[in-house]
Amino acid sequence: MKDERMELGFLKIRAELCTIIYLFLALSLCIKVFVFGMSGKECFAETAVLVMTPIYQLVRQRQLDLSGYELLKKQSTAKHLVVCVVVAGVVALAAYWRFQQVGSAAEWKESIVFFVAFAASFVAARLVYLRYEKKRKEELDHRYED
Amino acid sequence: MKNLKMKAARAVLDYSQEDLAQIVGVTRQTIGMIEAGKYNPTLNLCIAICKALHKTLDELFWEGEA
Repeated sequence: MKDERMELGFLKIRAELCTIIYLFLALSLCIKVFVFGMSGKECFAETAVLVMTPIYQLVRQRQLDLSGYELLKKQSTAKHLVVCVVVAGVVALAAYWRFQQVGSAAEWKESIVFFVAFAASFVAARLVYLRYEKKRKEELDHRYED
Repeated sequence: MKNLKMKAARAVLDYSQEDLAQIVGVTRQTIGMIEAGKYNPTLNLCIAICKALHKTLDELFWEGEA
């Protein structure tokens, strides 16, 4: 029996679960880099999932003729700013703590460089994604207009 | 808001929630929740229910005077 209510309910649960796993992976990456001082190579699984997830989402969106631009536009920028400040604060504290623990800056620097590079590419990818989605929205509007 | 029209239409045909659920291919809970106003069915399910109860969409799901 294909019950739409159950199907939607389970899809919602699965989507929430995926979001939670995604966030835990991001947290795991931070802990591995800052607490255990691991390099990018050692955090391959987390990095791969964090990078591949948006790519998969983008491909599926394209296949299903969805544009995320309207959703992204609706998200509150003030809320994002608060989240970014909190995350940056936590990262700065973790970096400071790591520096205190390690003493010598060599190992510590490698972790920081990896994290900054990852964060910078993440922000850059988001900006590119936004522009791409805007174009895609216009294209879809044009395709399905009267 | 409770869907009493659907409940009444079901009663006229002497269908139980289980009977209607089997006809339209959902669980009894889903029919119960639609009648209780706790779940908004998709248009496809609305049409299936209307066909099963020999009613139109207006008669079962329009909240104004149909």
